[in-house]
Order: sequence, then structure tokens, then C-alpha cells
Amino acid sequence: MYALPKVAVVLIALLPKPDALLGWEWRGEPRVYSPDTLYEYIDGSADLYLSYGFEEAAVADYVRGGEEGDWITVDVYDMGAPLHAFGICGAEKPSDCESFPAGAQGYATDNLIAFWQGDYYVKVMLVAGEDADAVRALAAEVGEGLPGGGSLPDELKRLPEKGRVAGSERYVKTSALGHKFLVEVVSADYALGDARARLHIGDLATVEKAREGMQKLRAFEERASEGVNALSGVGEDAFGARDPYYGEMVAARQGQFLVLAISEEAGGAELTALARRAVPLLAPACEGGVCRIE
Amino acid sequence: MAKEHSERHLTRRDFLRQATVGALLGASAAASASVTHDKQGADCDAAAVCELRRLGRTDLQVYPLGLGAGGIKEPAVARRALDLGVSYFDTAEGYQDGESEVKLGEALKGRRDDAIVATKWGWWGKETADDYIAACEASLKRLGMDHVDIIQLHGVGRPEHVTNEAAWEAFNRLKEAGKARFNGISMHENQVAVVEAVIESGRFDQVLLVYHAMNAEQMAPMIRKAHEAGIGVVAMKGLAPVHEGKDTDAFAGLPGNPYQQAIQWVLKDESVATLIVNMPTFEELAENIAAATGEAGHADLSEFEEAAKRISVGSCHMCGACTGQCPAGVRVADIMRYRLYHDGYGDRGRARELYHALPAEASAAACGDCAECRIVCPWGVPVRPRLESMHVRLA
Repeated sequence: MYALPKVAVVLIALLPKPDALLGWEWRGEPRVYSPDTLYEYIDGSADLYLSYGFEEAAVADYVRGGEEGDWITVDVYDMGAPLHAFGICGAEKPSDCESFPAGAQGYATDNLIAFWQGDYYVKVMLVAGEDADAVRALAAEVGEGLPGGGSLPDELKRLPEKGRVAGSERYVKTSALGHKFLVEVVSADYALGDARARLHIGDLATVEKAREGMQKLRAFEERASEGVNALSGVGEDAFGARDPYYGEMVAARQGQFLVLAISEEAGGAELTALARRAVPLLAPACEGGVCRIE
Repeated sequence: MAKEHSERHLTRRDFLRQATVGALLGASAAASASVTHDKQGADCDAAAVCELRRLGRTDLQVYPLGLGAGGIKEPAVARRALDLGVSYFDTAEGYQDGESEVKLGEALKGRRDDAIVATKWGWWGKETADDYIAACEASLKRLGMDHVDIIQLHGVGRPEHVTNEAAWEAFNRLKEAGKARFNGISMHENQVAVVEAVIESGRFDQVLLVYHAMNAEQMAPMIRKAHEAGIGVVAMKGLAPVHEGKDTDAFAGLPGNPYQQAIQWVLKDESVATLIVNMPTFEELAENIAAATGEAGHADLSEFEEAAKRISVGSCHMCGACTGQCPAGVRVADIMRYRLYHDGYGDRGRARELYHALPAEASAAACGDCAECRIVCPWGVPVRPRLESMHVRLA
């Protein structure tokens, strides 16, 4: 007899029980997916999950009224770390959704509630039927059973709180903004008076790589924009430019971190002030050429 | 089975997009960033290779390096490609589950007239002209455009599939309505026979085919023939030799960048109107543009060509000679192509997705029943070990 791995059993236990809602039941047994089998469930989307550190998933179908009746699917993805769960949740979040009070940064569309909590990313989907209350109830049930609270991952503390637009935080693991060197990036929108800006902070792991990244970014802007102007008083190697694809940009380096403040609406002075707010939060502790935020 | 697989997931995805119930919550408008034009265009003085080329009998003039949007991530990169002179953009309804078209549309917003946009019809799940028309209109909606320049049949592997009456009727109706200007067809295998059938049919303005330094012997004459018949030739997978040579370091000793030389090798064939390449980052875009303009790369491609020839034996040419050879029904040519995606392009997700879409009896799982593989590859590819290896990695 096949025994599920311990981790899979734990994950299945996080799914609402088959009788969690009156009149509903499981269709078949819950399924478990590993990094090698996730493709069987979500096809090519699996790559995105894997890039964010996917470890295991448990999935159950809740049905009511037989084959032609109501059908809700609950997915619980163990992403291995809060930052990864946060990242995949943000990457999948559509623009036409609204926030929903579930887990951390929960959101809802017409037929989906999704959120992350601790190491987990959760999706509750209405596949057939119209029972939106049941979707909400199942989402709440999963949330109650998950470890971890609703606080953002520690890495997001790199983003200044003042002016930050709640719910706009994101994490991108590779090639952020189309630049190969720009990795491990946390970002958020900021309200600067009437204007909006986006602040990106990339962790390039070492000071040397960060310096090299700044040189590449500057070289790109020198080619693509109307020119760059050196800035002082914002970390190191700072410059401003009007990027033709993203808008006004202020870039600076602080240790192993790159800071990019970008806006279509705000001016260079406002963006410089925003970048200045970020730099003190990135004061690094360096050892052997590798710096880590304290 | 492949059709069932596709439809099962379409159903699942459709419900994610469509409102099946009263909204759980309301919607908000998506913000779209406006962008300005680049001050630079491509510097075409360095080499004649980047002069615009006419796409067959059409009135379309294309830059010889095109952007394959199958792997598009940031629309800004495609926009920069446009700014640098790239004019041909290739996508498909099936790429990224439609998101490729959405991102490409965003990239080209406001500059539609500067771009040549080609998308593709998957032939699965479509039977009537109305099915094809509905699919094209869905593509237009995702692209945010009122027309595409080229609509292509996607991945045709058999000559008898070239003449698709429903798609032909659909194209003519779309053309009359101003929604598609030209008709094309893409292929990955059995290319010689399919191109022959394309020329014979007289229906197509464009072909999208695999062309690189390893399959030149068989494909160069066919490409010339198609070109002379007035069919615009768009090449893809031009970097395949470099990907194939990764394991053996076949190009390691070469002066210069082998990827750039692979691009230049394809573009020196004047029967090719444009070569599409997947370029998800600014860095890859710059590197490939430099190859197309001749600013980088290598003037003498003979060493590259020699290296490609050396790895030619034992490498899959996608010639299609193995198609239908397996008595167990294993789709060998398809699996070999997925191997290229997996090992060559590093696109493991796509390889796995495609492999899992194969019916069980067509996957390499069926290999175990044969004492000895009966497939004889004219290029000396060790078929069975590769199939088994792919099954272990993809199944």
C-alpha cells in the first residue's frame, strides 16, 4: 500500500474537511503535487511556481448536487518561505481584482479568492455554480487552519512605510523590469502628493555584483534615454534619467542593494526624496564582501 | 487525448476569466504606462544584413530580426525592440495561455502601424470556419488590435493538413472584414514535405519554419523554392545548433559569441525575410540586435559552420523522418522537439507541458515494450536512449 510522504499528509490536513460545509462533500480524495508533478495540474504555469520555490501542493474538490451541481476547488501550495508565497501571490494577482480579508493580501475576482499566509499560497475557486458564500467560507476555513500570521515578509521591511500604498507590494525573483542583472526585487507603489511612484529594491547578494548592476543600468539608460545625470546624497553611484519605457527614474546603490524609484507622474526631485527614504533602511552589515541587512 | 487535455484546462482557465456568478467583488481598471519613443534607431550602416527585407509577395517590409513573443515577460523589452527597428512580432493564442498576446498588445500600444503582428491558430478544438474566426477575434481582443498582419496555422506536421478548408474559409472571411491581412503556416517537423504542400496549395503568403546551420542541407533549397514562389519565409529556432552543442562544448573554442554567429548564419540567406528569436530581457535583445546589424559577431562564419556540422551527426534536425516509424505509436519527432525546448532553450515548463499533453500511448512510456528500437534516424540520433531520458525527466 502506498503511503503518502509525511509532508503531504500535513499539507492535506490543512485542507477543509469534506464536511466543512453543510451539504458539500469531497469529490474523490485530495491530490498532492510535487515539483515534478505540478505540471500535471497547472501545465506551463508550474514554471512560475517553481521559480518562486514551490515545494508541495494539496488540492481538493468540494461538490454539492452531483456531477452537474456546484463545484469548488481548494489549492494549498507550500512555497517554502513567506517571501516565496508572497511573491507568487503577487505575480498571479490580476489587475481587475479587489482586496479580500483573507490571510495576507487576500484578493478576489468573480470566481476566485486567493491569499498567502506563512509559507502557503491558497486559491479557492468556484468552478461551477453560483455559491459565492461557500467560496468565502472555505477560504476562511483554510486561513484559520494555516500557521503564520498576516504580516508581510521581513524582506519587505526594506521598503519605507511612509507613503507606501497598502497591497501594492511585490516580489520578483529574476530579471525584474526586463534587466537580467536585477534580481531578488521587492517593490511597492508610493503616493507622492498627487503622483504615484514605484520603488524597487534589488538584493544582488554582494557589493561587487551591485556595483556591476549599477554600471549596466547606467549604460542602458545612457543608450536608451535622453541621458543621465549624476546625483549626490542618495546612497552611492546615484543617477537620474528619463527611462523611455518606465518613466522618470532615480537609481542608487546602497551596499549590495539597488534602489530604483520610477514614476510616470512624479519629477526627479520627488523620486530622489523617495530613494533617500529607502537608503537608511538598507544600511548593510558586511562581512567577507557579502553584506546582509540587519 | 491531447485535445481532451487542452479542453480540460481551457475549461478550468475559462472559468477563471469569465464571470460565472455575480461578482464576489467589483473590478478596478488596469493602469497602463505610457512610453515615449527611443531616440535611437538601429544603426544599419555597419552591415547590409539589417536592411529591410520584403516578406514574399506581400507588401510587408520586415527587419531581419524579429521578436518571438512566446516567452515575453516585460512588454517594455518588446517596445524597445520596436524602437530599435525590429518590426516583426510573432505570438500565438496558445502562448502563455493567451498572456503573450496581451503583453505584446501592451508593448505595441500606440504604435500599431510600425509593427507587423503575426499570431497563430491552434488547430486543436476547431472544426468549422466559425471556430477559427472566433479564435482570431479572441486573439485580436487580447492584443487590443483591430487586425493582425498574418494569421498562421500553428504547428502543421503533415502535408495533408496544409489544406484545411475551414481555416481557409475563415481566413478569407477575416481578410474581407479587414481583420487579417495575410495567411501563414508554421511547422516544426517533416518540413520538406509540408513546404512542398504549402507551395503546391498556392494559398499561403508566409511560412514559419525551423532553419539553422544544422538543417541547411535539406532546408536551404526548400526555403529558396518557397521564396521564389512568392512565399515570405520566416525562420525560427536559429539558435538550435548552439543549444545542441552545449553538452559537448562544441562552440566553446570559437572566436566571438556563438549565439550571435548563429543569428548571422541564418540571416546571410537572403531567402529568409526575418528570423524570430525569443528575447525576454534587454540584454538578450541588445546582443541579438548587435548580431543582426553586424556590430558584433564574426565576419567569418566558417568556423561556426564547421562546428555546427560536427555536431550535426547525432543531433535532431527535425526532418520528420521518424514520424510514424514507431510501431508502438510513440510520437518521436514531437518528443525530440520537446527535448530541444528542455535542454536547449531551458524552457522546461513548456517541454513538460507539451509532453504531458501527449496521449499516454504516444509518450516514451511505450518504449519499454520493444526489444530493439526500429527507428533509424538518418542523422544518427540515438533515438531510444533520448526518448527514455526525456521520459524520466518529463513524465
